[in-house]
Amino acid sequence: MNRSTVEQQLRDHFQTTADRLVLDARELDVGVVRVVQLPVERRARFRVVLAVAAALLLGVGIGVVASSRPASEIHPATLDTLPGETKEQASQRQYIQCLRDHGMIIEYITRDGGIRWTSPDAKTGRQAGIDCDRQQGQNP
Amino acid sequence: MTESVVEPEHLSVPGGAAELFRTHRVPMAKLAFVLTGSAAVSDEIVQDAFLHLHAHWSQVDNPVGYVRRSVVNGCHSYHRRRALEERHAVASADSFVDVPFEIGDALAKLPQRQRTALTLRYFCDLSDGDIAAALDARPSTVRSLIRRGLAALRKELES
Repeated sequence: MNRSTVEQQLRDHFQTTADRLVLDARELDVGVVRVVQLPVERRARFRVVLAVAAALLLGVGIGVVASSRPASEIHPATLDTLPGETKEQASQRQYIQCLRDHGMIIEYITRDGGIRWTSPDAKTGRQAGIDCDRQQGQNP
Repeated sequence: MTESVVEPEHLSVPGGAAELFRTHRVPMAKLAFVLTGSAAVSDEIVQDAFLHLHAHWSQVDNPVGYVRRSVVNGCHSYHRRRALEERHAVASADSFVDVPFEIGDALAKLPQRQRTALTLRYFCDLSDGDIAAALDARPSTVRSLIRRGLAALRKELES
């Protein structure tokens, strides 16, 4: 078997495989339409709070804390379950809300009305004690 | 809390991210599908690639090349995760296509980078330079990957 035969078989194989991919029409219309995010200054303020908190934790000892925010506000200790909502759904909802509240989430509204989101700042999230394992997903 | 709606210019201008998404989503999804064999996974990888492009738009010189590289990286990451899952004997519910072709079986035995290089050459018809950019490798490495990949396929098909 010569090289050109293998090459032709490869081309045919790839094309046949690719032809099997059928994306439905609605999915084809999904596109990034707009981005919703919090004002930049709010994210910057939050980072200052984190930096101060990190410095205090490291024992650097800063005399004046410019701003503070209760830990419970950053990462709600209680899980408020809405009627008909499972604990998992409530957890995800609060997690997304946490990220959104602190400017760590960007929502992408797709043309079919769905919402995709991504957190561009997972490291900051971890510093804040937020579980950022799930950096991307779809809003429930 | 007031949220602001931002519509970055690069989303709507001609040649911007939205247009790029419309024109390149399907070809990139097909590339990911050939590399992963899963429609759902390939769609997800491509969507994420475009989100990364959006996030780094101002620093990207070649948006198509950037998305292609993101897709290739996404497929490699997927295969690494899948290999890990298989090592731990976790049953996968993923719907892989059943490829009835002999060459498909032979292809599946190749190392991931060889397989990707062959895909980018014989499916996407890319040059050595473009494949090198997608794989973060040198063109000479790409030529070597393709040469060794083809040799391995010939050997497998002849055996």
